[in-house]
Amino acid sequence: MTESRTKPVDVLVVGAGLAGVSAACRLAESGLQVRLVDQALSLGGAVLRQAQQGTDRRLQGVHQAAWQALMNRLHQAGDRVEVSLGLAFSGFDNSGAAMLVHAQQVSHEWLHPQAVVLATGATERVRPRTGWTLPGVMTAGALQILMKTSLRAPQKRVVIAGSGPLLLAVGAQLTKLGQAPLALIEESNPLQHWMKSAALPWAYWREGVAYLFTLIKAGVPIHFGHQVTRIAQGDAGLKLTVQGKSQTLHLETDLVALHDGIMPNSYGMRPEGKLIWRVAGDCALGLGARASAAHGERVALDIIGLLAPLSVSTAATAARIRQLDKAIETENNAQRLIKGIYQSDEAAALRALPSDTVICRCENKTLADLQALGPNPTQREIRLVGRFAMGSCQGRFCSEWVGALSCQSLQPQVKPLVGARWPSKPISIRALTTPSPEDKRGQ
Amino acid sequence: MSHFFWNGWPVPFTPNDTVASALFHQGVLRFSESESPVNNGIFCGIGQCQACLVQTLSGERVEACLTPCVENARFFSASPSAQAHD
Repeated sequence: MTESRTKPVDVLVVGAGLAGVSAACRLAESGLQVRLVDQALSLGGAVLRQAQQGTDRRLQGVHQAAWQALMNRLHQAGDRVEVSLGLAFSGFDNSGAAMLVHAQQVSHEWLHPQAVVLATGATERVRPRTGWTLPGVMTAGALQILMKTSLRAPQKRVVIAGSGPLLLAVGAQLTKLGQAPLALIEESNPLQHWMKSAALPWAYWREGVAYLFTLIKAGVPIHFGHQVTRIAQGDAGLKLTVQGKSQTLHLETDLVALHDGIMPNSYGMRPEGKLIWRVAGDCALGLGARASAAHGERVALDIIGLLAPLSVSTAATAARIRQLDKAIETENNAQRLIKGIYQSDEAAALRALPSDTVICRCENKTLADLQALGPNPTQREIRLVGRFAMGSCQGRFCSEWVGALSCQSLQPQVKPLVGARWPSKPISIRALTTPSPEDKRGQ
Repeated sequence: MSHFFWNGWPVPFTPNDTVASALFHQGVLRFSESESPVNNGIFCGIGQCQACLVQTLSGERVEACLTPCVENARFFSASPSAQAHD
């Protein structure tokens, strides 16, 4: 990490997870000058978030070896990759310049790269439920990040609920830290469809079975085919209503970790002008960690081909691209199989939502507010009259559900509701008006 | 152990904590002062949802999950009345 820059930046890489670091290393290895930024305070993104000091082996996942290899390459790259943490990417202006804002909202700087790699990862899907805005209700990913960064498990009762393989991973991590969850509530019935996963690569099997084994050994109740339909504040914690096909359970807990899958986090990030840009990793694919490093490198090779074609051998690059594409395709197939195992009827769950369910967390807008717009409201009505997808999260956590709940089919539709406008997140007036002392543009 | 101040109360932190994780481990789940369900604590944990906004002494609203802990720093619930603590 260097404090001030002397060389002009060829490529800006936004996001220092597997995809971003992989891209940054490959770009630097071809001689390009790279700036790697992340709004978090440590490298690793959501999957491999590093603690600032020390590690805990119990929290290290299956991607640790790949990450360590990348860290070695990043070290090798030396000052060809300048890493800035706590620096949030805000968007591109109409000249293609990228605005970066200090995460503490004190200043901003502009960067004029020739190319940009957006590797901003995924956003967790959390389907609205009654009470999902209460304090103590968070995403499963948030709970995982809290453990990975602070190297501590919460000294609290935790229920993990929703759908997907991450529930097992977070449950197993809590257990290994000595704080086994109270229960794990999986909406689908993955064990009924396990035969569909026969073609899954062995590594996925091994990972899933290891998590399950950890949970079962610790005696954690796993309720398949159940969903948390209601969360209410009780005197001694959160009261959960858990609905199964033939039974209703009532649990009391301190924390609820929700997760219904992931989707790309690519809001407000479309550059204008002639800037070369690529989207890498989960931000583009949503395929998870295994594909992300490969895709980061794939995207880097694209950019190298455009910016520094003479630095790479055409034949070797073409062969590597075929190899990477094949690896990504393998992960794509694996994710398709996993989706087949984790099948749940989201439309039915949305149909069953009580009308007082909060849909837009930022502005406290309910399903009743959405229904008040009448049948089949236009996107303009949804946004400008209903004020949905207009809050400070910029629709990341509601637009999919608003799209589904405002049409008859209840099919999630996220794209039309949220545009590619910038900034990608709120900026304070102070940050907007204060150039960073590091910013050399005006000199 | 190092401390920062949350609405005037000392909160211990380790070198690995963010403001959000330090508050969380101290048992502070609600970051807002009001009973409003809006922006009242950790939700996404990775700087996307703005639910964990807290206010700095100079008045900036920052995401607690992206904010490093600094010895003796002062953070407040991000509500209009937060300034009253000064």
